[in-house]
Amino acid sequence: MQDEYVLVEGCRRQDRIVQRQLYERFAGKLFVLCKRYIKDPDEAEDVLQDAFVKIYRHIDSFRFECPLEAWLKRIVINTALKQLRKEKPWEQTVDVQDMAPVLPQADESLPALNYQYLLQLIQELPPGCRTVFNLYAIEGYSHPEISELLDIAEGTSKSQYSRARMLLQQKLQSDKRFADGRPAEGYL
Amino acid sequence: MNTGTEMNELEKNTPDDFWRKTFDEAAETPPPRVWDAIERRLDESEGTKILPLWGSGLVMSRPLGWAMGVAATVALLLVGWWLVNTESVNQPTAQLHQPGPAANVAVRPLAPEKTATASGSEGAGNVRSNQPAEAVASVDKPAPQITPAQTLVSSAKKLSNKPLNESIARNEDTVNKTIQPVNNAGDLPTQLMVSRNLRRSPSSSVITQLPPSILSATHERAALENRMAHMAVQTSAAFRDQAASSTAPTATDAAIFEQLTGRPLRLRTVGPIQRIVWFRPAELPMEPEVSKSQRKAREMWASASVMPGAFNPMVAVKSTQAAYANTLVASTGNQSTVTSRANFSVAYQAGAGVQLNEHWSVESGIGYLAGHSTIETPAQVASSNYIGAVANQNVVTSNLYVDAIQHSLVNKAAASSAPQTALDLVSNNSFYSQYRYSSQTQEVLTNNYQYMQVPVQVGYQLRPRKRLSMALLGGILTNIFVKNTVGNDVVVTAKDGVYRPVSLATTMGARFRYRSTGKWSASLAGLYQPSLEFGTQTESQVQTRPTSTGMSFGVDYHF
Repeated sequence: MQDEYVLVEGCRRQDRIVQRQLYERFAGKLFVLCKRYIKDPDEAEDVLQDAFVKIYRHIDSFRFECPLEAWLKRIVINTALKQLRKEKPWEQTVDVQDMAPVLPQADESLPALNYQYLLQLIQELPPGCRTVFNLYAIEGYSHPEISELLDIAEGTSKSQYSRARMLLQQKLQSDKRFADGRPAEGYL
Repeated sequence: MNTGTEMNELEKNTPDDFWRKTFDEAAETPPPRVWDAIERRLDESEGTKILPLWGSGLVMSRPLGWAMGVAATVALLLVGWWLVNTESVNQPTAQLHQPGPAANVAVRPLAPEKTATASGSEGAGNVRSNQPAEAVASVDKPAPQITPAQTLVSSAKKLSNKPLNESIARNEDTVNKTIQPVNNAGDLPTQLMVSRNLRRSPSSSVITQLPPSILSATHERAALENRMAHMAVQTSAAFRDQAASSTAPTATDAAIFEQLTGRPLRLRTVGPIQRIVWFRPAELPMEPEVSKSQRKAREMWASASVMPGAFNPMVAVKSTQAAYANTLVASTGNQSTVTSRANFSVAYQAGAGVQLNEHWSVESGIGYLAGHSTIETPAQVASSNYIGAVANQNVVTSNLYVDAIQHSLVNKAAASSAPQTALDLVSNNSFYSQYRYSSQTQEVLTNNYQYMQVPVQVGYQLRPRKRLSMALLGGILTNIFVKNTVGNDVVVTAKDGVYRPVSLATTMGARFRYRSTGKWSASLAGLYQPSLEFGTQTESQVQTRPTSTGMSFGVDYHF
């Protein structure tokens, strides 16, 4: 909390050293957050860049009413959604059969699924499913909130999420690590 | 999967621990270029104030942006069309006074004072440009300086039922059991856990790297934090309402925050692992940075422009013309010359370009050039014995320039064994014997060229990534000859063999581009386009080496 305060105050003074420290502390997590929403790595970098510029420009609006990290995440999510809104992918309906059966190359030596593997799974989802899955399953938004956020019907949000789960489940089941009959539902 | 179970999960949104926990701890160092770009943009915003020419808010909406772009294009085309029409009305050939076969040309004695043959065209220059009635002011306002004390006091005044405040109040032992309930039952433990994490986080690792001025501020902050915690427990519903209305960002870009402000803030770290990774060693990027940066910088754009300017074909008649003219030229005692003057021209162009990297770009397109010029050429008058038969006056029948063009046509026809045409009369020596070219009598006639143009040019950005950018341009311009209208009755096309169907020119200049939005920009360029080679065939009696200069106005759409 104390160091967050120092960081925020330094950013308010537009102290470049402190701005850099804020970036170094949170950029790693926020970059993964960007990549969960934006599949293209270049676009994800652009979103991260835009988000940090907004953060520095609007740091005055942060009043310590929530953890700094939560505030930063909200800005990154909103920036990513703003980017996605240009295409409105959540209005497209994608057949499960249309999904490419190619699975990401997972490291089978790992006892558990690491985040790179799961990130690849999420990125393989159609953009609409991916966005709703991120918002609902990971960020914890409710379907009414998602419908308001993406300007879609609540039913669309539910169906996109349901489809995302189904696709992820199919991918996990076809993974070699689950070939012995081990259920993949535990991950979903 | 059981459908009933799935629907229950959908309704209540139980946080998915597996996915959430995995990504809560995930971190991946972005490439260094991301920070470089951020720093550059921060430097820009601090150093430059740009006038928002196209407004903001509703004006920046996509449909209106399109409409404005289309309107600007139409306006540019209309202005160009109007200028061309104005020019054609004021052609020097409108002032003809001499009868005869070349009735479309004005004939005047060569005298020190100039007649008004070309003055009519100057009327086209009286174009008045309307300046915008309203000056547009910059919307960038300096952010108010907020001292740490002000920040914390104002924060405390606006405290709501946010869980963080509850956690602060607990830790300060000032809680009198009046903590506001939270909306979501799962939020309270989460927030309390997070607050604990934040308090025991290794803050010294950051503070020790900070300058002493920042460290000194922490003492003041500690005292203020106590005050804030006391005020937290006195939070009322009225304060919550006030906080809800006052926490919205004030600037335009901050509008996107509002979509999430209505929901409670939660950090989903309920699971057993409760640590925050503050630092992480740099990881290798997934692919080489060089290739990524090259791919990233390639921005494309399409443009439409109009370039009013001056066009001079630099006409000359070859010395071999003297042979064809026999003694006619020599008999005048003076060297007979054909001179051309630049006149108004307009070029329309549609093109596209790609930004190869931060500084270099390549662009091409297709255009149309209508170039007008004025030719002064010695007139052809009847010989003395012929004059005697015609009222003792000089009778103008033709001129050196037109005859040279027509002779070129004749040579072409003879070379191809074409049937005899009316033009053969011109090559008849008996006909020539009746006339002389007199340098004392000059004819002025218009010379209107039309070309299709294909430019290929590279640009070097002097101010990359700026809203107002400047670039140096250079390249090759391929001129595809369409036709040339001499006076009003002689039309030479590419099939006649006088002009090269394709000739090359260079193009060079500088361009300013103001990027008002992410997609649209307006550009202003000054261009100089001299020819690299003659625009006429080698066997032609006429030589041209066109040069055009002008200011190009354009609109660009960036993809």
